[in-house]
Amino acid sequence: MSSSLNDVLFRDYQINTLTAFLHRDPSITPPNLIIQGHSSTGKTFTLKRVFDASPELVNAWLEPIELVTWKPLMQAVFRTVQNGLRSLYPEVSIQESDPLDVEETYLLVKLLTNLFSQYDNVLQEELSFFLVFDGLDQLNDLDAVLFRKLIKLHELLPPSSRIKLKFIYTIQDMTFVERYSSHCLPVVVFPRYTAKEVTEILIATRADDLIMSDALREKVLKEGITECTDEQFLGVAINFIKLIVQSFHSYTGNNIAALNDLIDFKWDSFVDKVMKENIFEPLALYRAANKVFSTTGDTLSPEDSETTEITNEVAQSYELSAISKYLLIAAYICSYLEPRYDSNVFSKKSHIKTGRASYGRRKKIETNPRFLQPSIFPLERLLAVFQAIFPVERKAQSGSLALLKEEPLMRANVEVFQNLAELHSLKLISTTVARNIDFLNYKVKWKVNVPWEIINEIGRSVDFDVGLYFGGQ
Amino acid sequence: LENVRIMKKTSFAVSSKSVKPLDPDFKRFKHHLLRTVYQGLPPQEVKVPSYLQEVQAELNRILSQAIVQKESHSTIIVGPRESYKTFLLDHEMAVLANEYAGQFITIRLNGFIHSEQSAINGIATQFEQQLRKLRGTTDDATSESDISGGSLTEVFEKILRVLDSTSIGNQNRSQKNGAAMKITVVFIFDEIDTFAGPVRQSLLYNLFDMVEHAKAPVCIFGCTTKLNILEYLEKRVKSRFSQRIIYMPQVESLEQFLELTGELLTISRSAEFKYADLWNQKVKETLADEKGNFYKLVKINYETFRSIPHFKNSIIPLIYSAEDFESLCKSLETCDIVKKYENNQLASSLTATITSLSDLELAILICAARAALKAKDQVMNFNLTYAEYESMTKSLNARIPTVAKPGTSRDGSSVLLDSAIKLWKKKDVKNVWETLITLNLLTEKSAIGLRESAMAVFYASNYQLQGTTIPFDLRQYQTHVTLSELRRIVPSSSLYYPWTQL
Repeated sequence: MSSSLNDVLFRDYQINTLTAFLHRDPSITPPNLIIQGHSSTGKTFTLKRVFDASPELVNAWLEPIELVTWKPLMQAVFRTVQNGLRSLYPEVSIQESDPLDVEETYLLVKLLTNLFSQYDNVLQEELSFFLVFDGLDQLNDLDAVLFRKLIKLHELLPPSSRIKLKFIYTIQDMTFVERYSSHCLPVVVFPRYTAKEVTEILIATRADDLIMSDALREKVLKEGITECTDEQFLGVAINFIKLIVQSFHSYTGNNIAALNDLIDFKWDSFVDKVMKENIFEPLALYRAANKVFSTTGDTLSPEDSETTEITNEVAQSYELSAISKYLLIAAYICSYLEPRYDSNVFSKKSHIKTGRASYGRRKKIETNPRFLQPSIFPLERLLAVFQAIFPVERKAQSGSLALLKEEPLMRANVEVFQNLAELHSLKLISTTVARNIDFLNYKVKWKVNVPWEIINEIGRSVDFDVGLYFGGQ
Repeated sequence: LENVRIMKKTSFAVSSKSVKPLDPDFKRFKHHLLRTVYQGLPPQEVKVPSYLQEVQAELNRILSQAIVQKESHSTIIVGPRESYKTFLLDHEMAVLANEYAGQFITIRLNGFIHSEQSAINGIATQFEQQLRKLRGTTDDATSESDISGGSLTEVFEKILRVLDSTSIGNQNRSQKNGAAMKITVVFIFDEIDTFAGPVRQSLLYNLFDMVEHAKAPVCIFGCTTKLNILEYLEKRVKSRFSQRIIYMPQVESLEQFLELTGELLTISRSAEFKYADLWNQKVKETLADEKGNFYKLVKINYETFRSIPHFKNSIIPLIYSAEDFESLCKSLETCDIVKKYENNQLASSLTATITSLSDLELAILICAARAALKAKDQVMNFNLTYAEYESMTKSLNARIPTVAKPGTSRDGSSVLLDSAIKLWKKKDVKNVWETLITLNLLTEKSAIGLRESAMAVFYASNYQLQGTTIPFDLRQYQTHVTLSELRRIVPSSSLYYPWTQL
């Protein structure tokens, strides 16, 4: 058996243990088997290959992530078993049940009993039917009892039946497995690959695709590189994969899927740098394609480090109105500055009456408050800060009578409240309670729901330096 | 372009083992041995572990009283998980089924699978099936006693009537001594504590009531893991229960545990197999050897898990992987495969996961632990962690003599890679942060992981958590490992080892 499983790398122990546990004879097969491993450790792949290599094992697969709750899961169990048996023994005519009748776990037991009893007279020998739950802990509405239901199911099925249902679970979360450790189920753990193993697996799986890719072929033809063997192409591809792993291993960790994405994403721009001179010299090629390996480029927005020419107007995060932008900035200030220092920061008026102005903060605080969660503020404070920071242009000439009529400051008019309500529905500003908010209640407090990076960008778009208010941090 | 490539990648995996024809005797022996270990043999051949023999006798007595002498009893068996509760019951039932076939029917319920409501249906369906089997009518045509049809209350009433009345006893078994005998109904409850919930307990009430009052003999077995099962029962339920509780015995000494391990591996019908005697001898010898690996492993198991089922899981790959008798004996001596199995069980533990992290992931984890240690409530977020990471990397780089200044590297990009540690950007570290979350090294603050019941999951899915609405880098997290624990895991040769201390 092991000879046909050569393409499963670094999983020899797991394959041996799996073959020790999985048999067609149900009397030497455990009713439940857990396969645990973090994501992209080759659980599904290895198991599929083990089943491929031993065609006498009857198996059916379920994907709990697509089934969302327990009821579709139970229905899918029955449906898969019934369909699997029907395709296995098409000559046996059975009375089929509707899988949608499984409304409860006990009904699953009942229907399975009925189903198996119809095969009892036909089959000569006992048979294990492997049902694989591929990623049981990915079930959206997973609860603690569900797994207990599944592992105890075999006790309720009739012991005399010829078909024995055997469950295999692949599970990512180790804490989930540990929760049921007292049941003493056999567990096969798939550890995470090491960096070296990841490189070898990637070379084994991807090098061929990369050589066969259109990008490389076109480039080679265009550059007129003729004297080049396939082995040298393979060398280029392997070298590329190694470089990708070396550059981005600390970023992705030992995650094969993420590295695969990076390979796909970077290959074209790497090939673009291939020339007649550097195809035989890995070092020169690396120098030429240095940029490919220095940034991850793992974003859908334009990279700001390389495109410094793009000005602020283009790179605006939000297309909000001016009032909304200032409201958001004011909300940020309210959330992150303490109310007791407000009068020091915002007061501009000359005092007609006597009285001292606020001194402001004496010492700088240790942790930057921007790193922490926003604090709540009442609506009046937001409006006051908004008024203090909102620029109002005076249209009238200075000294004219019209100037007297003009408001020197922005008032909280209808638009302000409209914009505020819109900001709330855009989830840029949130309130303390999430449900059934009474906006008019005095108890409702507000807070900003936007990180510093975005506020800074919004501030720049209206030429307002928010950083100044935070001690130039 | 021609496609002649040398596939050098898989060439190293070519197996050079010469394939020998397997010894058919050994194959049969191995199969039998595996079945013995799984306890999957026919009921007469199954060996009950010796320390359970008293309980076995007790169960046998209760069951034969119920089945042969038609007395009604109720018993609760208490024991931890995997302590042979179901195994013993099944075994006894199977043994009795040979002798007294047709004298009793068995109804099994599991507290996980059956709720109070569906248990009623479950009883009715199993009743029907068993009665049908007893009478030998396999046709599905609705017989006169269609118990499981109708609404829930009807079903329950029918069950009660059928169980209470004597009518089911005297169908076509008058040929036995002329006297009509009643059929015993044996109920087996797994996880009986779930039926003994805080609210009505009506199912248990009715069934225990039957034990006291019904004319048909009813025998009830409840299996539970709760030691204080009697406190779960309501007053009226408790008064109807026969107060018989059997506690499953525990392994008490290392000698006993060794003996049990030996029993598990010994083959009883030694005459049939060529190797059986040799093997039994070998097991005995290996267990007696106090310096041997096998003895050590059994001793470790005794001192940690004290669980035969755990040992069973690890011995199966060992037996299966043997190709002939000599190699089987040899691997039993060395126990490499068992050790491998034990190591593999820990391959996803917290320590193993941390050692599998890349350097950046480890650095971020250490910084998160540092930030959590500095905070009053051990809580940090992405911002704080990144600030910590930034300052740590900068101070590290300041101490490393660099040839090129990092600031001048904008135009000539080749000087970027000098001996300085790369400071990853905030948006790149976000990926690492999420990896740490999926690897379960970070948990959201005051998160409730897995809910107990489907109902709780339903309520939780309708409730929008605060953590999901606030921005990514402000969400509060807690670490699974503290900084001092990290210090013991991270090798002292690591670049980040000095960071593991404030």
